[in-house]
Amino acid sequence: MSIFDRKSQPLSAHQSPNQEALNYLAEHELETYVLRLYVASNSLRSLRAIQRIQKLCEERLPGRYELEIVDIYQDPERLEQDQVFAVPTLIKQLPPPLQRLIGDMTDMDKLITCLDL
Amino acid sequence: MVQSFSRDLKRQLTKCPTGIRGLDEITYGGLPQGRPTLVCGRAGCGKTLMGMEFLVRGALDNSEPGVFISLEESTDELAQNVSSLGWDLDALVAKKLLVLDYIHIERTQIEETGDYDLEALFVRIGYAIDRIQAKRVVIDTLETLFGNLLDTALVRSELRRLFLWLKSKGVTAIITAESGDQSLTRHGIEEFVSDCVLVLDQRIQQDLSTRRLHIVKYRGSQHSSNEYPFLIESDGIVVLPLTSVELNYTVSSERISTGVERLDGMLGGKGIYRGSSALISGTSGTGKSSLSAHFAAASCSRGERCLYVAFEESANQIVRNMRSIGLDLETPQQAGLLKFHALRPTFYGLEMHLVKICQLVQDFEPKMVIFDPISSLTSAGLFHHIQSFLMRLVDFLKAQGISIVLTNLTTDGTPLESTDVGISSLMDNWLLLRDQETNGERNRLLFVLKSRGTHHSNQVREFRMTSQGIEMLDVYLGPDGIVTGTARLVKEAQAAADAVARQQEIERKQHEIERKRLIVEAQIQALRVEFEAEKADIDRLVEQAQQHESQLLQEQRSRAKYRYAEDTLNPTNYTS
Repeated sequence: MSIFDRKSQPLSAHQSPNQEALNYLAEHELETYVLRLYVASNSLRSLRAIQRIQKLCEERLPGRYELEIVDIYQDPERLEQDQVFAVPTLIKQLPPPLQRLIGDMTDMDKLITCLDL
Repeated sequence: MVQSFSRDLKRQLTKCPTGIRGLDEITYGGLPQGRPTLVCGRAGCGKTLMGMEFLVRGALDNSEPGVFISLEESTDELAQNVSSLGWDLDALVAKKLLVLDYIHIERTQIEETGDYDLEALFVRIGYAIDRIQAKRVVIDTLETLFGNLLDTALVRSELRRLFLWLKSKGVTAIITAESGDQSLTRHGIEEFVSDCVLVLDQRIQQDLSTRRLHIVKYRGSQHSSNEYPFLIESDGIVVLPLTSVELNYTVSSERISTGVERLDGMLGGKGIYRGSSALISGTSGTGKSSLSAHFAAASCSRGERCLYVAFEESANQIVRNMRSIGLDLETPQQAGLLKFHALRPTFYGLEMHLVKICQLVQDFEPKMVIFDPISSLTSAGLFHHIQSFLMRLVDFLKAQGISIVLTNLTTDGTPLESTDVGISSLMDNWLLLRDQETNGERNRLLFVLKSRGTHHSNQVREFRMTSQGIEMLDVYLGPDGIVTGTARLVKEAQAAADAVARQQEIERKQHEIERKRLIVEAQIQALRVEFEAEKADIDRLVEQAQQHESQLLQEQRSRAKYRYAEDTLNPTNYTS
């Protein structure tokens, strides 16, 4: 049975969850991180945050993360949709749950806990 | 001179009209243009609504686009909440006159990992402003930031920056905040707003709730320091700036009839001044309502609309009762000249009454308003509230040249010349009705206690309710003062009898003199007859004597002829 076959099998309440499949998903699918970092281009705090998050991702999530950096001055219309009010704001879109982390990531331990790395 | 003039203009604070009824009056034009205003108050006192009305009125009346930044309610909730006031936010959004932005800050979804600032909030607000070139901004409410962010020091410094930034954007802003126990706002953000601070408050006294607005601070502008009641009406906020009414309204020298001819006579012959106030006070059953109905009927007969505010009787009852004294109020009512506004005073609070009445007056445009009776307002508020209510009411009406008639029931045991609601000094005219009990009957008396600016009668007059209305009667004074009722009838009969007796006496005297004249004339006639008789006698005697003389002469001549006497030519010789 290939992984794709397993993936295509719907997990409904009627079926008993296939533990093997869940483990597989946990290892491979969910660990692809989709992150979005909102920064103010002119602020040192933001530059610091960019450096830290990039370093962390390279260390902990090599090859399985997407990090988008959004300048709030360039794309103000995106702030409403992501409910951003502070900079820097890191949004962890995937894996769920969605999380908002505000601050310049000086509290590395908290960052690691929150992102469940 | 031109320079100094323009400098004055520059120095003068420009104001942004809010469009909220009454608020622009008490702020002398509106909120400070291009500056933030802090509106603080407890939950449910109307902060959000005031902010929203500021934007809606600005968009509709001044075509100024506005941005509403909500930190509490979602945009859908906001639109729903105000749709009952007839404001269609979606339509305004579609016309690019309004932007609603919900900034959702949920503590459970936020982790703080270090230093941050609220620049993104500024960018969002700035983006919303730029999208529609907004002139007005409302942020509701900033307290949410304190509740959801741990770093209050940072929030404070960012708010300070926010206020400065809003100023630099040149928008007129309303920022709402929760009231605190010790300070104006819970987190002391009033210290960042130096220009204008409004406090909203809701208080319950005697089971009746009143919302109040207070301008705590308004830099660079005159403002009244009073607390103003305000209401959330079916179409928005109404601030009642009526205590700020100045006593500078124009007055009329035209006089209007009271509807009772002889009462007009007592008031200098012409009635009361148009636009003045008249108080009719008296104990129960003295005819206060009937007299005020005369005022109403007189107003309608002049073709002027009259509003009759009845606190104790229904409109139909008043119409029926007045029919019994010959007053037809139904015809003017159907013709739209007379409008009844009948309701119990306790139906709602005094302020609500005031607003309702003011609205009615503005819609109906009456020339006369009657309140019957104001004494029943005591069930709707405390003494000084009623006094303030009536003062504002009277001022409001007088400022528009509307004549006012108030009736007041004087309760037993209180002096007649006072009112329970302490407004007698406000009144221009005061008609005192009372009844007098004599000879086992009660009779009604009327007295003009005061009538400013008229030469009025000082007499106590009796009046009667007849099928043709109120009839003022002549005055009869007895040994114990004015005589009323049956005693007056007796007095009237007495006077009539006296008059008859006097008339008879005159006639008798006239007869007598006529008789005397006849007697005198008869006597004159008799004397004349006697005289004529005597004269005839004398005449006859004279004639006889003359005949005798001529006979003698004749005889003498005959004798002389015989003697050929020479002296026949001189007969006198014989006589000697």
